[in-house]
Amino acid sequence: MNTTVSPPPEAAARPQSGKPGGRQGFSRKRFRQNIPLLAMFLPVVAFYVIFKYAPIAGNVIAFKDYNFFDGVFGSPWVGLHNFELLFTQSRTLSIIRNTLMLSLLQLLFGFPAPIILALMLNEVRKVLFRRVLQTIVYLPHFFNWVIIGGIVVTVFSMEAGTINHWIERWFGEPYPFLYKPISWIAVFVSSGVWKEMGFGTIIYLAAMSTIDPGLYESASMDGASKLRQIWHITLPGIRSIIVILFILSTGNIMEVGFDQVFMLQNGVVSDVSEVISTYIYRVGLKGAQFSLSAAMGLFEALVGLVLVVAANWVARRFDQGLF
Amino acid sequence: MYGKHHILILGAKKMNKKGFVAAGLMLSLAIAGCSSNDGGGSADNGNGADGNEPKEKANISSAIYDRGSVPAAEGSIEDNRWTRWLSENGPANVTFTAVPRWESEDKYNTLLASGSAPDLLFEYSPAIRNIWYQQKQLLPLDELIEEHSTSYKAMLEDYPALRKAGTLDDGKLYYFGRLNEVVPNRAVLIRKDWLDKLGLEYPKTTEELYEVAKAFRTEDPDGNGKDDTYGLAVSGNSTRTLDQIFQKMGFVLRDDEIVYAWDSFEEEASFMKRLYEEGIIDRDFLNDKNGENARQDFVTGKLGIYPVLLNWKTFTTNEYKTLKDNVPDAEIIPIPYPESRAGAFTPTFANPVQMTAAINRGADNPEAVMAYVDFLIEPSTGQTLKYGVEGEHYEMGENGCPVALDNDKTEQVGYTVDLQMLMTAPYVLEGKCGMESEFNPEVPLEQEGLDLFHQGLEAYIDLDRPYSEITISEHMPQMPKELQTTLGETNKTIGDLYSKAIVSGSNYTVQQALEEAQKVFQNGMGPEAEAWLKDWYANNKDTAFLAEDLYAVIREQQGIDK
Repeated sequence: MNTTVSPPPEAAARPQSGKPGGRQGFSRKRFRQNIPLLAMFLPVVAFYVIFKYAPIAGNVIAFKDYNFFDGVFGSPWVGLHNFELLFTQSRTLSIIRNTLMLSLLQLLFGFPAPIILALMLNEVRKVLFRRVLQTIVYLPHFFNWVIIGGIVVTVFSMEAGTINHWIERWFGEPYPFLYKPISWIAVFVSSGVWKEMGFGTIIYLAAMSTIDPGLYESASMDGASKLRQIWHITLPGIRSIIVILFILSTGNIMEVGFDQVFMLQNGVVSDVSEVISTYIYRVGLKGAQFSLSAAMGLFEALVGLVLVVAANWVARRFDQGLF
Repeated sequence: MYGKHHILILGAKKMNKKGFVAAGLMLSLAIAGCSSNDGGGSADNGNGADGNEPKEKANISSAIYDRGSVPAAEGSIEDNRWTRWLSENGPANVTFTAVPRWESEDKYNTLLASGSAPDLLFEYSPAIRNIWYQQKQLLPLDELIEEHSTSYKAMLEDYPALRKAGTLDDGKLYYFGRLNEVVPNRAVLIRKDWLDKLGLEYPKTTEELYEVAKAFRTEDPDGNGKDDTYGLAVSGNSTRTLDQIFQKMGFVLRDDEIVYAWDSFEEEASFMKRLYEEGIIDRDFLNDKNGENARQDFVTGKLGIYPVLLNWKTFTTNEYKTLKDNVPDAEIIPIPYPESRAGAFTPTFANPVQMTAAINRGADNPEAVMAYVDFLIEPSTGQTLKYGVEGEHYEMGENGCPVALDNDKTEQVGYTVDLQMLMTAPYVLEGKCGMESEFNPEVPLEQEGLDLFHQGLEAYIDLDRPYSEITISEHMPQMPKELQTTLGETNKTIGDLYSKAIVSGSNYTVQQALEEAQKVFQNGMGPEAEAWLKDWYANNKDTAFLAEDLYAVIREQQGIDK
């Protein structure tokens, strides 16, 4: 029976390769051989169908005046009315701008950070030291934003904050980190980078471990310094991973995770801190204006789609396209 | 493979937002399917059991606020001795669905969108109930009451105000309600011992309020030699109490005319800015969204003036008791609202005619729900829920009112306040056993609480003062959906500009904030809302329940001659 555990060699090959031996059409025998694999695949398909594809149909409520009782399909059509209403509200444009700005900043600082950290970890010689270090930098990822947000707000607060305690001692006046737009953005972006940086290194470290050690050996024999080795061996070795992850993160540009911004925002900085996800929570979930917030969500998704396609187009120029 | 892993992570993040609504809708389809099957099943059972002699109790479901106040030994808010008592003694088997008290709108919207909301819905906020109405989620009650109700029907006849308050703009009755004893619901509490120590009078104007708060901050009133006291709390529920002092209530009534109170906005912002810049208030107040830090400061004796939203009895047994445990010498008194430029006002009062419940249109068995409501409003039911079992938890006092027994069973009662949302105060029905009787004068702490309550009545039932709002907020009319949504956004922006003016020093003055806020108001449907409200007021000022009607009820209940 152990033949069923490992797939036949043809299954592992890419379909595009068009092997002459590959049989066309449905084969009962091959299907039966692969039942365990298909069974394992089924929950994944179910996940995507139920939570990713089927809800797309729910977007029709963006063009309807949705109410609970008439439901998604029974509610009356209103055309583009929700979009019109959305763009007559004073904050809509600044909400979209903030979403773009915060996520671009997150991408700008958050994307290179794990790569740099992974390069540094990769060069650590003492295994024990490296393991301890890795565990410590992974740790924040596993805490909920409610906890991290509470810590961040306390650290940067004016009365009880550790940082302001010292600022007050040296300069006399505490600095309102969370009330100034610039410093708030800095706190927001850096806390996000700090939380996810360590965990993000996993993928890069795994990619680095696949690089042939022989390359490093011959490079050092040729007299290449550590930095040269990183530049000419490590980075090219993980280039395809970097590009793939970059394309995927562009898809997120229109998305600022709800938890982080909700925990950290306050009224004074709402000019820069109000984003689409908090708007949807406030107006959609709390105010039950589902159609209006679905319109906002749909708009967000469209922009996200355009950005992903554009990023992929650029990547294809460098022969690294994802699709 | 790495790519796929990452997609999964992204997917999980995405669920937080847009996916949420959509997934909720999908779920609703699935659950709606299930529940309609269930419904069919139980209805059949009901019919089948009709012929048998002992009629089987119907199964219904009810919402219940969860305040996290049930002692661990008593179980949960959904399953405890009193929920079981209701099922055993009432006309139906009731399943309870917990709704977090301070996040009820999210919870209800999720429950309703997924079709899993309970049959009987409880909610104080008219804004939230109005969403249900707009979403066509409520069952009109006229016929149901006419044909199946006994007690509530009788009450509607005795107190027509209940019908009036529960009827919505399509002319049908949607809400069940109750009648309350009118007591002040907000107060400004001040540390009397600190005033005495510093030789100060209690503040009578907002200028004096500033001075006293400043003295409390800078003159070390607790005498511990440390610079660790705050003058005034401004976060959480204190915010609205302060707003009332300045009448910064948005649309207000002045000279019988609806206007937007921009002068109050300016005055309070300047007041707050001063307090903020001089460090008299906790400068992190904007991050203390639920007021928990202010509460901590108060009960640990670090706060001088505490504007609150309170129930006098629970305040006594919670905050006041903790304060006394921490600082035995602490002494507090309620003071009348200090006079601002806009005037001297009374605080929020309890709503004498309060709507609290509605029936979900998807309820399988509305008759059974109606019977349960009839059971809930019985005075004997209310008495049991409030005080427990006679002889076990309470005994009848000399005045004919229940007095709690001070024994090891005190923990078993007192967490059922939200089961009593349909209980009409005996004080209204029989003129006795009001809030006063809830304090047990034999317990020293409760005697102090009773004194505090009496001082509160004296300070706040001063009906020569105007009410700071057009009417009790629960009686304000609900604007059309789009106007309300857009105005909500406008108000949020104006509120943020107000906060910005307080904390931004000379970079952003109150005057700048005022001008910007007025611009936002102009562009954000403010004038439309004002016109709508003016129109409503002109057409309904004789029939709507306004501040003067509230004062009339207070006069009647307190026996005050005009």
